[in-house]
Amino acid sequence: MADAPVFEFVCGEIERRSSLGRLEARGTVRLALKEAGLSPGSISVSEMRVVLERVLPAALASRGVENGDALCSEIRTGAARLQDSAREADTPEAIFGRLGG
Amino acid sequence: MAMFAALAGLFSVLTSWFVGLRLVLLARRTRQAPELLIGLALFLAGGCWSPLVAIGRQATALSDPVRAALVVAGAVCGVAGMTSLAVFNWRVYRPGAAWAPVASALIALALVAAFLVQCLGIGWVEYAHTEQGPWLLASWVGVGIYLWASVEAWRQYRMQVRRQALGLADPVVTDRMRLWALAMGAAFAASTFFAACQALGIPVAGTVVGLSLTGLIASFAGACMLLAFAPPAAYLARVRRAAGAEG
Repeated sequence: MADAPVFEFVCGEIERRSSLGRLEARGTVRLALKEAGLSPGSISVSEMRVVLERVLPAALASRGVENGDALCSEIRTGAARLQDSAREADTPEAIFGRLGG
Repeated sequence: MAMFAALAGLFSVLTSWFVGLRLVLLARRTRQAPELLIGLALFLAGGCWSPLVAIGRQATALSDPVRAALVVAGAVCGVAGMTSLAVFNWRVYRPGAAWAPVASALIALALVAAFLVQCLGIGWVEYAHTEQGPWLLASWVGVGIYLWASVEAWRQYRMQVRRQALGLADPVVTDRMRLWALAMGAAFAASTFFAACQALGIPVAGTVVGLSLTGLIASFAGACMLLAFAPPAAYLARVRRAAGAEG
């Protein structure tokens, strides 16, 4: 499964705006998503905004990135302009949500 | 004990019919494959396979052709139901993984092969009498499918719990995933125990141990299914209250 556009966007922004390299940035975001119970392939923009607010600042701080809060806040603003069109609609959560039907 | 096991078994079968058909009807409305697959799996594997084979094996007053026909009907339900569960695992949990459709196809092929070799070999009358033959392989294929379903269900449930902690998941859906994981865990434990006894030639059907285990696991799995897929409003309210109290 290809990674969601919002995942690519956030990784790119962290790489561009911090001292982390491409692999470090992607690894940091992947670990943050795992901690949040989310997948890079199916994450939505609104979910990523929550991760940027509540999970990624601490993850960046643990890797020595200064001003992680401010960085995540700026990326959050940019991420809000993205669309969810490429998202896989039938996630396990969506399916189990229907099954009580 | 026999009465408890019979009632628990009946409860489990009726629950599988009710929940399975409910999900198949849901699939008619939504036109989505996952609800059809899980509905067929519950109705055929849980509601038909076990009872038909149990009657064919244990109703000694019936004629041999009738007993064989019941066991064959049960086996066909087993092939279709377990294949549906394997495809459900693939489509729901691993839609992008190349190995998942291969695993599902191998499972279906193994079940069909065991069925055909039983037909062409010692036959189903012998199976109804002695529970011997190539069809025994189906029990182990079932163990594998339930193991796969359990692992995926628990993994997805743990992810859902993390999402819920961030306010990204509905507590009712989280609870449904937990109940499904519990039901699949129980099915895995039970199928492993019975397949091992079957392979070792230890007779458990009709014994105190067999009846107790059947009764307990059937009741537990049936209750999980009902609460997961046909939950009473009071239960849902309780789940939401509990999530609110934790949050």
